[in-house]
Amino acid sequence: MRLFIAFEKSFALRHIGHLDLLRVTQRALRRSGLPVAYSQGFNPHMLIAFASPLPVGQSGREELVDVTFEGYVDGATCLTALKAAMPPGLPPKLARAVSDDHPKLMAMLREASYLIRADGADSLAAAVPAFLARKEIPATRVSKSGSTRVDIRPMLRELGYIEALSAFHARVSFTERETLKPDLLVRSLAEFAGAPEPDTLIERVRLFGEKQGFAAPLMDC
Amino acid sequence: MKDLLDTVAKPARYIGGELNARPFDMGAKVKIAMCFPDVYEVGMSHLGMKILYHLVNDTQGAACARVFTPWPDYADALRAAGRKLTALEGGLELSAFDAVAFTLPYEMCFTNILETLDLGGVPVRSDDRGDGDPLVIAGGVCAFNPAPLSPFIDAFSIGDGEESMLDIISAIRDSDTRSARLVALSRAPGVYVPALHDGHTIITKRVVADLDAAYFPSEFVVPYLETVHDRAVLEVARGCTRGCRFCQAGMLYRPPRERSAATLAAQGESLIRSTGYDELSLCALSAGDYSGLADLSAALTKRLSGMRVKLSLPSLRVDSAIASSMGDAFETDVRKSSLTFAPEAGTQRLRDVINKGVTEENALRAAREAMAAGVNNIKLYCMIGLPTETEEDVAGIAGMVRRMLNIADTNRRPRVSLSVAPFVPKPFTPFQWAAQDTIPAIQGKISYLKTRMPRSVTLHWHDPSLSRLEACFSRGDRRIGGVMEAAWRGGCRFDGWTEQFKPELWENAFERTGVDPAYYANRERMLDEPLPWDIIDAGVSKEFLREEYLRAVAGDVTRDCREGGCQSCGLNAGRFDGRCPRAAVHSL
Ligand code: SF4
Repeated sequence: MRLFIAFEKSFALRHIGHLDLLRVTQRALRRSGLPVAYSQGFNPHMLIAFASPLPVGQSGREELVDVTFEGYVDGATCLTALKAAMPPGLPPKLARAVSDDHPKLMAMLREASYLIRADGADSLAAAVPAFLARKEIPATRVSKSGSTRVDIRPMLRELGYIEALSAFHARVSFTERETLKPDLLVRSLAEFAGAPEPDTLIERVRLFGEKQGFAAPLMDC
Repeated sequence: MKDLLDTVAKPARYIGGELNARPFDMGAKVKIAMCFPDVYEVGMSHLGMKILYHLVNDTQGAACARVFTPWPDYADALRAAGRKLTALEGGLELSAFDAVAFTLPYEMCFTNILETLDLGGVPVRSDDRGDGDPLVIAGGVCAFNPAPLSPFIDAFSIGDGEESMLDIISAIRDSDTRSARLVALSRAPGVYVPALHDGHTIITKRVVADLDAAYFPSEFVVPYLETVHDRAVLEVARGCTRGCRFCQAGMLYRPPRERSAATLAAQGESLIRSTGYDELSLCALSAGDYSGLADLSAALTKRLSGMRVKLSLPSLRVDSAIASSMGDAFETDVRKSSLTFAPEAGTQRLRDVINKGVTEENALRAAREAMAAGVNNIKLYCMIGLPTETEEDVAGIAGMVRRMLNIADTNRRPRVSLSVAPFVPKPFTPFQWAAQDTIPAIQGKISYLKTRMPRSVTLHWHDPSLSRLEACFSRGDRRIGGVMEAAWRGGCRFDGWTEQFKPELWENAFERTGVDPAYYANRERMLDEPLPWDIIDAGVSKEFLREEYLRAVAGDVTRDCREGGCQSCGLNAGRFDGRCPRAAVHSL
């Protein structure tokens, strides 16, 4: 059977890379004593799959992993066992049983929301309404293979400034074909406001899938 | 907005909070910073560090936090920001601890001790420390010649640390001032306090007589970062009876003692359950010699069945049948399809000189068997510059490698790599009197070897200037400490890391302090010359070592005392009720 498990990658652990996180999760699962299923074959590995690797430097409030178990494990038991087994900076939050033929997390992923703390965020905040009012927002995406111009406006679902936190809140598309990275968003906003690119601290708040045509938390999809 | 940690490589080295890391008890009477003078990934692989960290934390009234030497990027960032190095647990600066304790695993990390103290706000020289400063303590293999580090270390713990650490904690707990604590420490057995030493009292190393009764943690801290040895480890035995004449650990860890298979199986199970590791490795100087291997493997199989644990041995011994005794109870590690062994020298004559009881014949046979079992890579380790070595011996290395290439009858050839390290004479070995080859001599031998090596063989060699420095440290005195400080002030740290090693700065430090490295590295000592480490009794007697040196030069081998009977190395005299606890064979 399969369980979707949500856990937090705390701020203190933002520097842990995805492969390290994977290894820690595998060890925690082994420690938990839960009957995790393994692949067949010469070099068997645990059947676990993350919704999306979190980049080094970002924390995550609700990261999701799909774990296959041998036999029946109910969500509450799984959560209790994992809470005791995970290190303090990676507390498990929720567990939900899904059927064996349920789509994979990665395949259901549509959007992600972020909390972005940036130097001088308050002054950038003033530019948000005009930024959002644009029909097109051309930006330069830099990758190893060179830089390309893209229009990020269609990928930007929501952008607001939360004064109490001095942080931006953004919801952006997150699919294989269309992903808007939060740092590119901030860079474009700064460029638009005529400000230098600020240092940022980024927290991925939630991943979203789709239910009846509307964005819904991936955990519920 | 950004923290210092956001600006350095691998910040996970500095954050702590791993699984099984202990909360730091700020109210503890005795606070100890357990320091490893190398980077996190190396220090977190060190068994002694794991044992002592948990031991102190399990002791009433004591608290222990870990410290690893920050990599240069973070060290520079800390200095630039005017910040001090803090321990991974509790966030205290080093200067706020009662004691700062270093493990000394190898000489090339010595400058990192100064670097770590300085970054943590502790004066690097003992003389400059006052009542508010922590005691700086050091133990481990390199403490057996305390002289080079004695300007910087307040107290050395000589020998096994499990019991000694408890005495050190008591000494700190029961006195309040720095000077009273030092006096209490100097009275503890096996502890050497340079400032209070009369120059001739012998300090006898501590020995844990019964390994089964010795402290061993039931859990390890499980790192986030991948470390050098990222797995559960059992120490199956301490000490080695083989008597290789260059090997310092082989002499220092005598007498040989084993843990019982029953104890080990229980320790192994608790480690696997508490850490979630999928690999358990058996560690000892010569783990293949462990007499209870079959029992242990059976007991672990029973306890860990269904948990998919790989059992691994660090080094496959050439002349033992470990693989067959392990059976197929454990999953084999398919990634590690290589056979590693260390014949150390290229001719039988020289192997007799160094008392390495391996013949080329059994090396070739083991390689052939390993090839038949699917192993494709063979890694060989040899030394050059061993006492009595001739051109023929150097050429012999190439000859042996050639024959190794041709072991397979079919057209399948093994991939062979050879690592060559210059011989470094070490205290408390029969070769402690021998000279090291000069750098040009070593370079000449390496070039000679290169011309004779088949092209398909990968040849690695150690930097000879690094080996010379190691020789200066290992047999050094206080003056070497002065050189070390000058070099560190000049910018030397992480000398064991090729990309960080700065030979010019070291040359410079030797010149400025007026010390000639050749005096320490390249000079043969006279047999009756006083040695800086004479104040330490390491168990093996000087008479035995001298006798062994003479036998070496004569080419006489000395038998393994498990097979050939007691060779009177010194451990039998005047302790353990006159009986060496050598290789007491345990069974379940
Ligand atoms: S005292 Fe004898 S038996 Fe014990 S380690 Fe030395 S040589 Fe071996």
